[in-house]
Amino acid sequence: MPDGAIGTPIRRREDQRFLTGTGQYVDDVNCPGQTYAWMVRSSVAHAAIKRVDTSKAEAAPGVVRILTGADWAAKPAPSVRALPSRTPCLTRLAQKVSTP
Amino acid sequence: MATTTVSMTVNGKQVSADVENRTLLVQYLREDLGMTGTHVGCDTTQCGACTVHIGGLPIKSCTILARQVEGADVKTIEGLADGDTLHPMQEAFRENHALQCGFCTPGMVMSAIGIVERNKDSLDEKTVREELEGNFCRCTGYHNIVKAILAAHKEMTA
Repeated sequence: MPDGAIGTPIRRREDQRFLTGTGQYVDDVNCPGQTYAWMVRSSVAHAAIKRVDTSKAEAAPGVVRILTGADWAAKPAPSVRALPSRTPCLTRLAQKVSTP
Repeated sequence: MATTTVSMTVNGKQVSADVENRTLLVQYLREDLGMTGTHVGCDTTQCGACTVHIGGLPIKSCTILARQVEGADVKTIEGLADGDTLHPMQEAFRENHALQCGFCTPGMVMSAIGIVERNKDSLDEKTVREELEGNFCRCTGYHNIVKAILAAHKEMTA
């Protein structure tokens, strides 16, 4: 660190775009053809999933894709190095739905 | 769904778009005009992240319809800086580390300008904190925002 840097206020680099309204927060992103994901959460606190039927949801207008715990189990995301691999509760309790 | 053509001046420029009657001003700005500096932070008119100026007055754009603003003069955070030169309020926020994640900042800056303009003669910390009640910040604890506004007041009323 250069001499005299310790204790000196340092200007932040991100302030310029935040102050002028040009920060790209997630909701500000607008790519052509972008789709939107909704997380569907369990309506009960604790349950065993017997069966997931996505047929009605898949037939709904505008739905691109529905992902469930089964999709996750088939192709798990790589775990972040140095963090324990976490199998999400998706397989047991929740569903993920994508719509355009 | 009924639609209307809504025209207004935004940051000095004449704009016009055909929108559903239920379109909020904040949606008009963000989605129809692509100006995403004005943010949506709540669904309840509480947080103030959507604050813009309409006819010079700070107004929460989430709680007014675009068609209610027909013909008006609107200013957003994107219209404050003059090219590369920041508005004194923006500069004060930067100098005083009045932002962290920056999400509330556009609304804070727009509201703060209103606070200064309403209190030109004198402005104290208590008044700033009271008049900032319509703007929420989760990051900073407000302390540096208050400092920035008081500093900007000095600059702007010099």
